[in-house]
Amino acid sequence: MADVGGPDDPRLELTIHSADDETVIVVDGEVDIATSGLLRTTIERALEVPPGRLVFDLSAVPFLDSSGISALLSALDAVESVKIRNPSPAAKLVIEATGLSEVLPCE
Amino acid sequence: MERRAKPRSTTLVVVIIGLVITGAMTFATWSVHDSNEKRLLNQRTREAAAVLTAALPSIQTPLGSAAVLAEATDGNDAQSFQQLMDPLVRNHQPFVTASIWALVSGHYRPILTAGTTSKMESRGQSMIDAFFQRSTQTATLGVFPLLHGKDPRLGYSYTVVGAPVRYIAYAESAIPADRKEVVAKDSPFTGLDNAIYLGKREVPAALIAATTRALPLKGRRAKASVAFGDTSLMIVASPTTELGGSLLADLPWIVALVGLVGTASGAVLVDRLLRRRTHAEDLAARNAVLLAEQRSVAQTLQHSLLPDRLPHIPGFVIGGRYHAGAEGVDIGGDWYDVVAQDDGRFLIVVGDVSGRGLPAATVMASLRFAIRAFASQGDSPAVILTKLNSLADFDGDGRFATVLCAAFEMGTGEITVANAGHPPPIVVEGGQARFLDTTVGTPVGVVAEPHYSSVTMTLGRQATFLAFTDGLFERQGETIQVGMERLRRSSADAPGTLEETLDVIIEKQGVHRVKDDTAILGVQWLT
Repeated sequence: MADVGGPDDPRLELTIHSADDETVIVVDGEVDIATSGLLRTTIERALEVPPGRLVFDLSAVPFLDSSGISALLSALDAVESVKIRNPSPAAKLVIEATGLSEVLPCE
Repeated sequence: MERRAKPRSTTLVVVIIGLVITGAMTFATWSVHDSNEKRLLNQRTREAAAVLTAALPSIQTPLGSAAVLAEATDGNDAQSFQQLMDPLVRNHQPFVTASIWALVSGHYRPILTAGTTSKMESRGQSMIDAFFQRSTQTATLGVFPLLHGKDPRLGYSYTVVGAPVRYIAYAESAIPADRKEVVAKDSPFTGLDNAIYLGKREVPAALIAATTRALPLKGRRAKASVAFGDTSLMIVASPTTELGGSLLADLPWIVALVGLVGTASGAVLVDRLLRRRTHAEDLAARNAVLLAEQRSVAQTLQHSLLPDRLPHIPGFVIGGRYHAGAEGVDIGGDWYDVVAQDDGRFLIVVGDVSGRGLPAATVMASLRFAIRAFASQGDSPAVILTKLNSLADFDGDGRFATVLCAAFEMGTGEITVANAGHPPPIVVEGGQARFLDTTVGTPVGVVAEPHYSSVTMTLGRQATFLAFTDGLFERQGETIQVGMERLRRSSADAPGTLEETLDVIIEKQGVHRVKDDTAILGVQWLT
């Protein structure tokens, strides 16, 4: 488990949980053009040893824009299965509105 | 060149300031040393003068005894006089001659003598009489200069206090012909060159003794006078060493040296720092130029990619707006386009490539021209999106594009809309605004084989169709639902012509304050 968010941008905190074949990235905060870079680098770090399954916990995401979507999509090529866990209403809406419900399915 | 000259002049200023400070400190230290030396010299000179005064009793006391003896024996006891004075003249110390003088037939003459003949006797009688006459009238030691010739002497006369005076005791002491004075170690004269004069004038004729032949003394010097019998002695002194010690004397030089070294190293340091700063500034300026060039290239590219003139479609008014993000550094990947097709149809496109900067703009360009190509072949919106996806290769970096594609039948007002992950369009009709229910497929560039389906509907007359990118409604701190609802209301409220409607919406949505870029395209059916 590694806390990779923090003082850089207090609006976004990211935590990586790794267990067996599954890696969970807990996203806590707003994901926009200013913070999505952090999410992207966190995903890169989590995929250094590609897990069988990558899960984004989006339960604490009050705002998600297209740059955040782009960051989430960057995981697609490297890992077999990408799932969304407990998306907040805001995150769910954005994923549905951009036609990504099948690409980034909920668990 | 101006940039290069700056460090040198600043370094020069540092050097000048350093030298001025060094000079001032050196002068201040020298002044302290100088005043200290002056004070010490004055003090030492006064001490030396006091020592000269102390010699007086050793002259006065034996002469006093001789005078008393002469009075007591009426000047006849030559043997006692010899016994008294012999020890004092035998070794020419302190006297070379001693005698008793008395007034004989109106003139002063020696009546008893011990040692050699006095030099006084070789002087004129009138001068002798005047000297002794003066002696009888004072109780102090009379001092008479006999400094001329090869055997310089000083004469001393003394009379007993209490009148009448009949006998005068007289003695002469020798002074070295070269006036050379030997200074004992640890005496008050140590470290001083000095010259002793009889009287108050510093002239060779009055010189009694001196430690040096280089007279008068030069350089830093001090004078002190002390009473000596009925005249006075003056001592002029000049230091041969630093009276206050060598450290204080060397201090100005040490201060100067330290100051110069400090100035030199300060100058070197400042010079280096300035060079480094100049280098950094040059670099920053070059970077700023590069950035400005890049931005300008990107903006030029983006504006060249957006249609500067939309095609004229009979029966329709079409208007577009593009607004770069408020920060304006990176360009975005938003675009809109209108393509007239052959068979009484025209196609409108609004798209948004994720990310910013030149890469996003480049992808946007390739997508835009690909769509124009597909449209000219008569492809339907869903087919266009499918072909677009197979064309797109975004390197798996998560870059994608949302695209809304709508085909308008000019005759009937029928529209066919396909959507690749894009915000739905708004239709404004009769003061009501609603989002068109489109089937949202995956954005272009996300999956290998997406499926796109289109919806078809017919617009009423005077209806306005609005397609846009998410910059128009997406706002920090709220869900897109809230933002979309606000946009819907703004659209419904917008009055008048299409141009006015676009302006009002952009104003109400605060697009000018948003970081993201925004594109909006409106189509109004007039017939």
